[in-house]
Amino acid sequence: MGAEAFERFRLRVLEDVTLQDALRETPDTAAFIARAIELGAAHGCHFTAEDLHEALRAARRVWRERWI
Amino acid sequence: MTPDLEGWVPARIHVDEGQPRVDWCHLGGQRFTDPFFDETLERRLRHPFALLFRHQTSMDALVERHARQPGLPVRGLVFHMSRCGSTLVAQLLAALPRHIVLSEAGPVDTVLRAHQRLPGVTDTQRIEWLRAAVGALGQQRHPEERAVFLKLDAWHILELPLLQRAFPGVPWMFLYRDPVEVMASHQNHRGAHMLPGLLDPAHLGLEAGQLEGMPMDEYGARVLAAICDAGLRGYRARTGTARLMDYRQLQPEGLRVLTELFGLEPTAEDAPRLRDALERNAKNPVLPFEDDTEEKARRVSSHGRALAELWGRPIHDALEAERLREDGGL
Repeated sequence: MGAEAFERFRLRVLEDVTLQDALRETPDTAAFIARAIELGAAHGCHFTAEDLHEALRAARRVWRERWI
Repeated sequence: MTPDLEGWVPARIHVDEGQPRVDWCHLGGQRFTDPFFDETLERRLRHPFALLFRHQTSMDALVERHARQPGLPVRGLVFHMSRCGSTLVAQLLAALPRHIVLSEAGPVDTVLRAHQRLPGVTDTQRIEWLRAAVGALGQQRHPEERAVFLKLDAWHILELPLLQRAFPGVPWMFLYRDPVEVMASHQNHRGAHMLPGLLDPAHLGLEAGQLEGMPMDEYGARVLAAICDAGLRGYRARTGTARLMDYRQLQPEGLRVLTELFGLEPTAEDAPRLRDALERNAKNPVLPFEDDTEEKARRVSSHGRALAELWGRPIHDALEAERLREDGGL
């Protein structure tokens, strides 16, 4: 559920420059996660810190695989 | 619909179901000042936003964007045989804030080798894609930025004619070094092009079958010789401005040659920036520069030395002779 909600939020962010700015301004991962959960909830996308950590691990994995 | 890509750069181009796809990363104001393109990207991807939120578009979208936003002009191409000081050249160019220096940028390499992975891709397409990728990477993101320089991968000299068609009239240089010292460096840590698989054997004057059973060091020595040969042939056939540069020239003469070749016009403010870049280890800028000529010559295996002498020495000597003839003995 959380992963699906985050994916919906991710697609939404990619279409919305204001949301992008709000997330980019975060200084570190902890602040980013708190902001993302808050903004996600405000847009009806409910996910947890663990969902985000998993998404980060998956993104890192995909990035490395495409390098090959 | 193409997304708003202001501040985004093509980080990678990959093939998905037989089609090239472009991965975009938000780079914001971050300049390409690291020794290599990928290091700048990796630094950026430490921020979770850049890692999680990446646009993906078709190659057509990249080309269409290029028509609307061509980016800053390309003012110089830096070719090299690897392990010969080209990273220092890139760092010198990147030391000036008016330059965008793309140092061995992955998207450039992917496009140049696209025909190997996507049968039917023509030279015309590769040129169009190359211009589009460089144009997107060379968007002005700071007001002082004026020009783009490409420091290419070592094997890209084999594509010199195509690169010249893509960027006509742009001055270029080819850097090289004593083949024994280059071989020593690769024996310590082999570059990707020194392993069979990356390059089309035809580029090296080899039939595919000839690779079977060829010892790795011999393959590497032949690759280095083919790269130098392409540099020499390209230089002899040049129609525009080009320079050959030997590693030993870099510290005393490098700056002057770059200034002349690329019309750098350094200001008083640039002098300390350039001096600083010259004094650092280019690949690891936290360390000072050290001339490792003697150490490299000592470290190479006798077999490696013999192969470098056999395959690399004649073409190295031919490059030196050509350079000295043109430079008047500098």
